[in-house]
Amino acid sequence: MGEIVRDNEEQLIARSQQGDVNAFNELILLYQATAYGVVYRMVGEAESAADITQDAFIAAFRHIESFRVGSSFRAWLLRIASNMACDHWRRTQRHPLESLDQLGDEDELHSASDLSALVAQGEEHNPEAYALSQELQALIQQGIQELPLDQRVAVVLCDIQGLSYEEVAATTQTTLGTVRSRIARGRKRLRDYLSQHKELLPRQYRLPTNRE
Amino acid sequence: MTQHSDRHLTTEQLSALLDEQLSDEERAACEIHLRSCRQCRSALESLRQTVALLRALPMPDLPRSFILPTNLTYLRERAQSPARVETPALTAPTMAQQRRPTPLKHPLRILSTLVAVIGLFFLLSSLLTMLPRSMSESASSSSTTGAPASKPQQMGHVPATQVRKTPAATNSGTTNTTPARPTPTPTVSPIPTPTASNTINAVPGTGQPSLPPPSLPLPDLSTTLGQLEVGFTLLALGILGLLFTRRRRSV
Repeated sequence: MGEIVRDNEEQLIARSQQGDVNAFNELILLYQATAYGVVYRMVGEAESAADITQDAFIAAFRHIESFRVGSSFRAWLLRIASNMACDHWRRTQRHPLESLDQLGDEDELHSASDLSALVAQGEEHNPEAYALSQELQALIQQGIQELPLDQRVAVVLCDIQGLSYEEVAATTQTTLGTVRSRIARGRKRLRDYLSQHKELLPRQYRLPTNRE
Repeated sequence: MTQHSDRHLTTEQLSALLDEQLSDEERAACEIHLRSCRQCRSALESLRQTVALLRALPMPDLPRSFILPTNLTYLRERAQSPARVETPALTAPTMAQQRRPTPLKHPLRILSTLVAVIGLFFLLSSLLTMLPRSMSESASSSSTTGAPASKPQQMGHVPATQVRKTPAATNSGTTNTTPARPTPTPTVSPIPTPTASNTINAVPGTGQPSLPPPSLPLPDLSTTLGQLEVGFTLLALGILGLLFTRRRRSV
C-alpha cells in the first residue's frame, strides 16, 4: 500500500520535473494540509500562513528540478515552506527571537496582555474536555511563537506534524544531535511557558511544578 | 556519557527518552536514576504532558486550496524566485542543467534575425541590379573606383554588361561566418566592385589578383547570381534559426 503511494508520488514528481502542472497539483493535494499546518503553527496567523504556503508551492514547482529523486519529498517541500515562514517571521517581527542555542536555557517569559485575560477566565473551562478549548489552543500557539525559530521548526515538525528525528534533520539540514537538542530546548521552554498559565490547563494536562 | 545515578538528568536526555531516541545503555542509566529521583520523574512527566498538548492541537482548517493554475508553466522559465529557497548543494548541477538552454536561446534568436536581415539585404540589392537601368546609370560613375564598398546604400552599381561567371557550388554551412571573398578568376582583369555589403566586410580582391583560391567553394559575391545565392542562404539560415528557437521555447 505504502509502496504504491510512493511509486505514484515518484511518477508525479517526474512529471512535475518535466513541467506538468497537473502532476504537481496532485502533489499539492497530497501535502497542502501538512505544509499549511507547519506554516500556520510557525507564524500563528491564517492569512499570512496561506500566502506563505502558496508562495512555497510556487517556489517548489519552480525549483522542482533541484529535488533529488529518492530523498523525502515531504522533507524537501517542508524545508521550502518552513524557510519561507522563517523569512516572513523575521521580516514582520520587530524583535525576532533568533537562535540562542547557548542562551536557550534562560527563559525570560513574558505573557502578552491578552493572555492574562485568558488566565482570569480559566476556571470556566471544562477540565475534562478532550478537545482543547479555543483558549488553550491559543495559549499553546502563543507559547510556540515564543520559541526561537530553530526550536520552533523542530518542535512543530516533530511534535505537531509527527515527523521522525531523521526527517526533521533532513528538513532542517542539520544533524540528529542538533535536532535532539532543539526539540528538547523547545519542549522545555514551552513547558515553562505553559506552567505559568497552568490554571488554563485541563486537569489531565496539569503540569507539575518545575524542579528548582 | 554514562550517567551517575546521583546526578539529575538533562532536559535533552528526558526529551530523547520520551521519543525513544536514547541508546540502550543510556536509557538504562536514565531509568535507574528515575527510579530514585522524584524531581527528574516530575520533570519527565511535565515534558510528556507538553508533548501531549502539542499533539492534541488540531490541524488548522485549510483556508483555500493551493492548486496552481495550469497556465503556470512560464514560471519555470524565470530564474529568480521572490523568496529565499534553500536548495542544498546537491541541487547545484541540476539547476545548471535546467538553465542552460535559456541563455543560449536569446543570442541564437538575435543571431538568426541578424543573418536573416543580411540575407534579405543581399537579396534586395541583387534584385535591384536586375531592374531596368534607371539607377545603374547614376551609379556607374563610381563603379570603377575599386574602393571597398563602405557606403551601405550603394546598390545596383554592378555594370549590366558584366560577364556572368559560373558560380561555385553553394555551400551554405559557412557563409554566415566567413567573410565572403570573390573567387579570383585570372581571365577577368577588371573585376567589378562588389556591391553593397554593409555588415559583411567583403573586401574586393581587385588589388591582388593572385589570391589563393579558397578551399571551400563559395558563391561568387561579385556576380548578381552569387549575391542572390548568398542572400537566399542567409535568409534561409536565419528563418531556420528563428523557427528552431521558437519551437524549443514552446516545449
